Amino acid sequence: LLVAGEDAGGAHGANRLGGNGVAESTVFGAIAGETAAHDARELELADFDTALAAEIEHQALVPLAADAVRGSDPFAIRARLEALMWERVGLVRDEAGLRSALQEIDGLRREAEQLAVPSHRRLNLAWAEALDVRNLLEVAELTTRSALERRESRGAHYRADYPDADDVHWLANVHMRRDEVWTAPVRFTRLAPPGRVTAVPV
Amino acid sequence: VSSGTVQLRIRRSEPGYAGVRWETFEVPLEDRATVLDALFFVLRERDRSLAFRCACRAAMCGSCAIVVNGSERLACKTALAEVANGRPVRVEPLRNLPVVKDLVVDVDPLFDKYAAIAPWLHIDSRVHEPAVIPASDQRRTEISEGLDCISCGACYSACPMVAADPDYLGPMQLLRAFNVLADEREEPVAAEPRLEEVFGRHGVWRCHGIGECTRVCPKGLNPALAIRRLKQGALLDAFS
Repeated sequence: LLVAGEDAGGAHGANRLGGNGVAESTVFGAIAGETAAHDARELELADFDTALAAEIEHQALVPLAADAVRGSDPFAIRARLEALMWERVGLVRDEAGLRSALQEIDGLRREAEQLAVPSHRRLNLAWAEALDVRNLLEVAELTTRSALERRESRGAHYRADYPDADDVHWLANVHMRRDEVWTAPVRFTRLAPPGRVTAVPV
Repeated sequence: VSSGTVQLRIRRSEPGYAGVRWETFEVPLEDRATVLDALFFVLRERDRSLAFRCACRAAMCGSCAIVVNGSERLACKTALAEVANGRPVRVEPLRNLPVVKDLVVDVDPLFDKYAAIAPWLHIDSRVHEPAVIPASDQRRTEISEGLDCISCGACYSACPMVAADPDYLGPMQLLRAFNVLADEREEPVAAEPRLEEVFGRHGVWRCHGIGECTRVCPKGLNPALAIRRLKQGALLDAFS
């Protein structure tokens, strides 16, 4: 998987959670582009699970066939998710707010199982929104879970219940898979914070 | 019409699927609302089958160019209040390009012609300095005037000569051609195929200086002037 731009993240450390992805788009764009060119020439196409691909296709098509009257509206779900993330996973966070946000995201996810959009496919913006909403719910949950995990404040992540940076426990990155959260120490390259941490030579 | 709302008349169609019809929607006239906000209101609250295009919503990407009350505008940059004037606001897809659905046009012809003029600089291999024209130089100023083009296609849609000759390159393309031809780092040999296009049968001489391109450019650029400069340069070369 190759990423560039804001998806690559990290060039500004904890200072920014996103936005202003110029460094990320140029630096990681060059790396991703060169890697993609190399891989396209050198790598064989990987096998994929056709049954899984059919299932993914089916899931993508479901909102087109759903009952528009009883089904849920992707624009409304997105608006509620945005409001929720702003209120409880936004500038000031705490455990109670993050936990209740997780519950509400779960509720929105259940509503999103019933998404319904007009059935005609071409340039169907509501369908695009429906597919986006599923991904947004995924990202919202990942964001909330990692904010809950990091029990300190650092950069743009501010926890009212842990207002200070904690260099003893939290010079670490939060990693996530589905139903799995763990931390790994930050690998310092050119610069390291003062104190006992030493930079790893590049 | 209650106060605080505007009638939005949208030209809708989908060639091969649905014929042309005008549909009217009443949309809220909120403070600082744009035409794009009005389109989103219709999509979210009134008709989820409406198709339009946008990306940056900050007049940088050029995706949302449409025709508002007969003139090309960026939907994201056009204040609804400014175009309302107590009458329904009419929105249509760009002209001179095939409609795909509602306000979305097929921009392939636009970019095929852009590609035809080879819109990048072929740096002369003998040039070793990255910049040879001083920033204060007149030539630099003339080039800089055209660098803010976002390829939205507004000028191409407004140009009556594109309508008359579908093979005419178009203002956006010729503005870019001027920028690269005016740059003295350009390698003369590499410029040959571009010169054939720019000064060929469907190039600058098709332009009659009508100036609609300059009138509608949402970035305030002057393609008409760039085309005039290309013609002027060709004439000076011919008689020198």
